[in-house]
Amino acid sequence: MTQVEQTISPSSPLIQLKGVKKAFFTEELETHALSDIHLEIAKGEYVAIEGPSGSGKTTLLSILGLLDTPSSGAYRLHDREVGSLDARERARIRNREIGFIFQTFNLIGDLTVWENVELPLLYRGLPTAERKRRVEAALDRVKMTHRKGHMPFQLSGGQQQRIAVARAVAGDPLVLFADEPTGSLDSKNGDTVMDLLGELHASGATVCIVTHSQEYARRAARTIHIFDGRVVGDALAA
Amino acid sequence: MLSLLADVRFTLRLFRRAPGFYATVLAVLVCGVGATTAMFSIAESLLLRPLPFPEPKELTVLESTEPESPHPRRPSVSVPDFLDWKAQATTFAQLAAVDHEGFSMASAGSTPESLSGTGVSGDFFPMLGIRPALGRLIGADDDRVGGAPVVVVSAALWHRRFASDPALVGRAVTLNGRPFTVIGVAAEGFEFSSVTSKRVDVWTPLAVTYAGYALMTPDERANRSLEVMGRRQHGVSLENAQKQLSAIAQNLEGAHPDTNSKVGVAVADMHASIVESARSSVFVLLGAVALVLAIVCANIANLLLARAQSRRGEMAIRSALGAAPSRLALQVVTETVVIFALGSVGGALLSTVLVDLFASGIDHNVTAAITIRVDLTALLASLAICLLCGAFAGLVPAHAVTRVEPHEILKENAARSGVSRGQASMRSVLVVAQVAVAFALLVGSGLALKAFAEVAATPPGFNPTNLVEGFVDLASVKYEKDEKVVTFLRDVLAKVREQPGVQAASANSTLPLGGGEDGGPFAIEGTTPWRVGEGPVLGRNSISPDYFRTMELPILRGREFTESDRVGGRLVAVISHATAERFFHGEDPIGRRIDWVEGQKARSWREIVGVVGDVRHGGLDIAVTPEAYIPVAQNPNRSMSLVVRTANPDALVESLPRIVQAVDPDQGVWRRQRMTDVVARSLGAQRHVASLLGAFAVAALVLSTLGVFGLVSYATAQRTREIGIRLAIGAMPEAVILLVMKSGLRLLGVGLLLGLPAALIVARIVASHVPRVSAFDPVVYTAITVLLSVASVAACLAPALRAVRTPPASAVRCD
Ligand SMILES: Nc1ncnc2c1ncn2[C@@H]1O[C@H](COP(=O)(O)OP(=O)(O)O)[C@@H](O)[C@H]1O
Ligand SMILES: [Mg+2]
Repeated sequence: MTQVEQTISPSSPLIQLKGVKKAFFTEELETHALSDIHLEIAKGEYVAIEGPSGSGKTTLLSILGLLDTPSSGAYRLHDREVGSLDARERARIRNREIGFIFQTFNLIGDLTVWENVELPLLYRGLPTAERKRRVEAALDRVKMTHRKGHMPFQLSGGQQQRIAVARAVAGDPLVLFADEPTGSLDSKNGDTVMDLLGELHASGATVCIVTHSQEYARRAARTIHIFDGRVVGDALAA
Repeated sequence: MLSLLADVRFTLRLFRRAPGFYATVLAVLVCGVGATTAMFSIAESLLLRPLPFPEPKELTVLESTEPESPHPRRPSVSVPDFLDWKAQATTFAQLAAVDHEGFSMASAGSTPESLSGTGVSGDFFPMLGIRPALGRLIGADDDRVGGAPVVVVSAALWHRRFASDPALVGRAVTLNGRPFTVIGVAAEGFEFSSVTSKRVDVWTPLAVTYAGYALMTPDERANRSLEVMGRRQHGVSLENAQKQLSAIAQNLEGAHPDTNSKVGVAVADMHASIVESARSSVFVLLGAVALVLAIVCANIANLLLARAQSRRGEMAIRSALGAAPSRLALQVVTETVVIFALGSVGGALLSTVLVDLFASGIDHNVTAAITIRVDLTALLASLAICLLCGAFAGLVPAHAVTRVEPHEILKENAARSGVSRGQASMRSVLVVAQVAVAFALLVGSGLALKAFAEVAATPPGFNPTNLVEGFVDLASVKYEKDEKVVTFLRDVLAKVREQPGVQAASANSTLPLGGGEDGGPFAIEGTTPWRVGEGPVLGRNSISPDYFRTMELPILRGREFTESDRVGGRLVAVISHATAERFFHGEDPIGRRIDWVEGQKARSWREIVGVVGDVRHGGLDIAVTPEAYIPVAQNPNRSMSLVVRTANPDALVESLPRIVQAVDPDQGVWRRQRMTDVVARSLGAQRHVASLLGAFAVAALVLSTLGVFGLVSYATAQRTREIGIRLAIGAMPEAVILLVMKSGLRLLGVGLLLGLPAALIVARIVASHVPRVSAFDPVVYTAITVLLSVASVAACLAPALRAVRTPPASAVRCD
């Protein structure tokens, strides 16, 4: 990790996609979810990805979040080619450099709030004291410290998503990805989560979200439009 | 009715859709029903069913007892003792004696056939209530000295050898060179002669075929070679019969102190005597099968529960379409019944195989008297047990589905987590129980198998590999003169040595591990003779030249016999190592002289010329007994085992009768076998108990492993999404593998923990039934723990590896 920090030059972008394609094969059917994506995201940016359903947003985010691999093309993250890494290396990067927030929260039902937030730190092998410090800080950030002993099913959707945000930021990732983080929430809870992401960006985080909502998209400094697997627009907010 | 048919049809369609699952259920059922039915049938045949004779409880076995004799011997009664018992024992309505004899039956134009025969006294057939299938049976009139040589043949022999000829009665057959007249054919299926004897082909009158019958000489009284059975008078108890016979024996002791000192009588129930050797194996196997059955039941219950869980969706749809709860339950029950019907058919077939395997393994004397067969009641009983657990497993889910709310299918998450935790933990309990029971059973079988393996690994003293035995009984009148016997053996062995592949050939009168024995009390020249009845016994084996090389017995001192050790020459003997150790205490025995005498003055001292290695006779697990060898030329014995070391044992087994008939065309070879088989057979019922126990242990291991596999696979499949999430937030592959393993190993750990006390109990029981077992053998406990753990780890590995391949991207897709 230290080595990665040393090799980064101030001019180079945090994320760089070159000619990324993604095709899915299902029962003789070939779906081109992404075709020829070129994209750069700099450190500290707040990017919203927008597009109609089925246009490839989730697929793009999965590749950016190293949950999936491109069929072809190059992906440089933090000045390092990550498109061709093996499963173990990808797991390491997901764990240390990426935070992911899902539409359906994806907390683990058998673990408490605390344990859910602690899980990525555990996978990283951090010592107990360090874990405790970070989990407390993360829960404090999302204002959920008082619920740390609860099970997920005892929380509302908005609360669950705040825990999911805490889990994503607990490890101090380089970049946060969120796939329609408000998709399963009512507007009030949605606002709370979006506010939270805004605060994180304000404190220096690189954030990249997928959203349907024009209003939420406008909170980002930059909006990327996707249509039928292609980038059709990339604009900075006025 | 129509709807039932639809249910059955639907069930069969389910089988086609999930063949793996139903094949597993069926296989488990077949194992369970098969093993249980087999063991119940065996127990019924041996322990519960009375002997197939009228008033079987009156039938009694009588034996002479000698407290000094190292092993109780059978046969054990002399002719004079038998005749005295018969004259005085008023507690018996009938008393019959039998004497086993091998016959060569010659008939013109075909090779002589070796038959198993028995000389029987007049009471034999009436006592057992046997009727002839043809002609008449031997009666009191036939059984007298000087009576006509007549023979009764078994129905099996009549069919096989005489093509069921109805005109057989009155025909003459030649047995051991003597003409006999066939007077009848015994009842179909009757091949019994005594509690120790295997099936027999022919019966002859004892007084006619037993040379010297009714000679009441001391020699005859000491020749205890008959087996005696009797039928007690109505209402006479075993104890009262014992009292009277003991009194008679005491009188005989007084009248004949030379031969009958300390000789008593023991009476025993005939059925108990026959099944004695098989009894404890039946109990051990019944115990093992009960444990297997427990595992089978848990397994079936578990499989059906798992099935019911995965079909909740289907049931909810049916319910939404308006099916009444009872209708749903009926569907589940129908499915269960169809599986059990198929399982019972398979189980019945498997049980016949297992029963035959067991029957072929137990002592032949048992099967000569008792037919061991699959019992319908046993089949029904084991089916009932499996059905009960099936009903439990079928009805619990049936009950569960009746509570399925139709709207459940609409609640995606609720439906998934809605499967009651109760059912899930019930499944865990069942798997833990299987592991625990399997551990107990495996430890029990492991202990028994280890004890068995240790016995089986005991070297017999000779090298049985590539060694063939052929037994000849020179009972024909041709061999009345001793020289004829010696010439026959010399000529046959010379011919055998000419065969390709033969490296050495010789003969003995007492085949090691062959079940026979010879010898008796003896004296050593220059030492104080032992008092009558108190001296040790020295085995005696008459052998042909080149014997030690043939058997690969090491010559430790001195020399072996040569052709020059003949009759008329100096009498010689070679003793075994144990004999030298025990009676010469480290002094050189070469040149010392011994004789088999007791009480009297030695008549024929034999000089010891050599010492050879020890050989086990009674069994691999029985201590070596003192033994001496003498040249057959100086002690011609008419019942001899030809022993041949050859590179090609099968060919020699095949050709031996032809070689013998080249020397004497009328002489049959009574039996031919490889010595490796003799060694294996000497392990007797133990060997088959071991293999059945092994089979049950393997079944337990497979079933419990299957249980762990099934539950872990299922639970892991349920957790696919969770595993995807864990991978998405950066879990390493090994962390996921560990996660899945842990769920399986928890089941294993709890199972082993609960299994340990159960295993200790089982081990105590095994130790009390199987000799040489130590109940706390740590090697076995460790080995079984490792075995079960490895199997469980392997069972968890497949679902674990499948879990690792979960794409992390699955976390972002909400199904
Ligand atoms: N695992 C997959 N297998 C096959 N097709 C897929 C898979 N994931 C996504 N797709 C297809 O790729 C296209 C883009 O999907 P997605 O990225 O989920 O779109 P969005 O998130 O913009 O709604 C769609 O046509 C979808 O059906
Ligand atoms: Mg999407």
